[in-house]
Amino acid sequence: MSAVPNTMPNAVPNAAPPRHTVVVRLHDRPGALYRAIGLIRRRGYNVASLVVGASERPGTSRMVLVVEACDVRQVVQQLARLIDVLSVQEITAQPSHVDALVEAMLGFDMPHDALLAGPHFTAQETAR
Amino acid sequence: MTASDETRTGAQILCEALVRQGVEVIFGIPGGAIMPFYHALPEYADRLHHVLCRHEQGAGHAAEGYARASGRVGVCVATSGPGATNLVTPIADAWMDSTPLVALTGQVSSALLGTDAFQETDITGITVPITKHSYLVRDPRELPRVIAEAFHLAATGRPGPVLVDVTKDAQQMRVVPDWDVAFDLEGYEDHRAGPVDAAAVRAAAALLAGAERPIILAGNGVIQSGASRELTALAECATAPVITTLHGLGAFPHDHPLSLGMPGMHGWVHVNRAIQRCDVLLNVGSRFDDRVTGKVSAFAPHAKIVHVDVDPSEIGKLVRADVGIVGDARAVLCALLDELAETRPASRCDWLAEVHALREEFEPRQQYRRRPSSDSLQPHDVYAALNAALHDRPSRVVTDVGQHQMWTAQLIDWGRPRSHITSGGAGTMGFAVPAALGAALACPDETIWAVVGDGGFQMTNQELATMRQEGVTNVKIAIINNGFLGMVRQWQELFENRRYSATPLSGPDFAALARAYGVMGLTVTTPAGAAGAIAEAWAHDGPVVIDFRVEREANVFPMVPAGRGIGEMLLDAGATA
Repeated sequence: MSAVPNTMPNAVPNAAPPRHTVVVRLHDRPGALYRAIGLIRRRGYNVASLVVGASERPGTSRMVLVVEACDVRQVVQQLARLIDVLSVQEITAQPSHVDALVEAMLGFDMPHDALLAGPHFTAQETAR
Repeated sequence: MTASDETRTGAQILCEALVRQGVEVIFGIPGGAIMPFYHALPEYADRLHHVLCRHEQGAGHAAEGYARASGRVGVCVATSGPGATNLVTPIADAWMDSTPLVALTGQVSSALLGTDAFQETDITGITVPITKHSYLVRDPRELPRVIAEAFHLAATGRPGPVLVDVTKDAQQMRVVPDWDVAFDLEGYEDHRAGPVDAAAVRAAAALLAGAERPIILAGNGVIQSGASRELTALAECATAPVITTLHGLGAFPHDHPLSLGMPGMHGWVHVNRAIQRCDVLLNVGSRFDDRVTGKVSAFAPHAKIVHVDVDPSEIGKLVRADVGIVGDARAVLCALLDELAETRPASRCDWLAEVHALREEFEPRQQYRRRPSSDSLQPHDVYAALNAALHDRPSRVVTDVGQHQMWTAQLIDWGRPRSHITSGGAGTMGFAVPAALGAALACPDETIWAVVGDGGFQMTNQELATMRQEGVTNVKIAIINNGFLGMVRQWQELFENRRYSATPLSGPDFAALARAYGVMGLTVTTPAGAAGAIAEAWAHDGPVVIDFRVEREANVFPMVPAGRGIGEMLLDAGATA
């Protein structure tokens, strides 16, 4: 039988948990952002950086956060429980390098949705 | 009809929206910011019965009791500021126990929002961590959609509390309501409704079929989804003993040969031992609460875990699941039954014999099941008499929090779903008396027994006045009165060298207090008096309070000390098992 303890440690002492980049699409409604941020606080997730802004779809926002967590699935699932959250994606596995997140107004003469349709837009949003 | 005749105030729309949701009873207290709603209420008096409680906490717990007894959404109403903050405890309670609840609160007029106006409190902000969702409504045109969404969210998926805060001007403003509006819930997925993951079901069925020592752990989810029959069928099909959590009591008949009892901190020794021995543990609709698992790293060390939950975030949150299945308990149990119909289950004679032997070994040593040899009234005397009286009579039992709650869970024979109602996750003292009031209104043809300690009773006993005003007759309250905050005292006795800091508790003459409320009051001080008092209370056509003055320092055993594994149980103050 399995000798692995039936435990999902949320925090490992003495070692910084791995970083994960999580992309959250949510309604731009009163309280929506507060709910998401409050959840991160009360569940004790450690946020390395966070960027929120209007997304390409009117009435919705995109939040990109880098969290330090042993069990990032919990972060994703808890965020997904929120009624105002439309989707949650953990993109760490995709090729990306994240030291800090910035939000930039891009001056492309191109519709936002076309600009952001590319597969690695989140990585493009990030910069060293 | 002129156009102006079609307009309704926001308050009227609110009432109409409740009626359209099938609401019949609401519990609340008026105040400044909710006055327009109360002004409209008499027009709907034939369809919406308002129960005036004595404290908003009482209104909230009453709505919870109503919901838990009936399976419907409970509704409570309060004004802004302190009215709303007094609902915070029942909202938190409903959140922890997944109870469908809609809380309606009045809010200051929209022009005053954010100005620290009289009785302004940011109740949507305060309740963010303890609500499934909340709304702040400033435009009455939103009310038909918001109320429909609130009830949908409260009742579906993993049920829970939803708060709707309505500004006073939105209640007063006249608009033409549009009832033909769609939900705006793109981000919400009702995980009861979706198809069950067939591959996960096959994997779970294979684990069950191949198990030598399977156990089924059944929780609140089985009761919420009405899956008791399917649970019994699966247990029999898989020849798997069934254990039931505090909120699962009643989900599986206690007298079934495969029924083992309650696990956890105050569960039976043989149940915890069986968990430590099992090789497959199928958890249906419970969340591996720490009162069930004890030290989680020592929980079910040999078991493959199958976790069935309607809330995906519960799977793998505390205990690693080898197979996780998201869905409604009944749908998943049906799918498992279909899958297992193909396989011929093993007889599992060895495992059943082992479980039987565990029971034989520990039951005689379970002194806590027998009353101590004493002439004084023991808690066990009350439970023996109550259990006998409850047998086969239409009744429910509501408990508060503490020693009496654990004794009730241990010593009553739970036979059917929703017959046991308690505050589990939040552990809210003061729950029982108002929750019994709510259950009594949901089940007018049944007798509702509230079992409560003298500490918890003194937190919300003012709802006796509500019962009198409402003419509620089917609530009987048994106070297990030991003059202590008993569970804290027990911990102080066992783990803090009997330093009884702030636990000795005086109270009034509870029978006299009951009579002051116009309620029958009885006092029992001898073992011989217990059964007669319960019979007298049952026969009386009105609420009754029985003050059972029990042995002051009786303890709840067995017990897993906090932080220990469930394999390490105290049988009494001196013996471990």
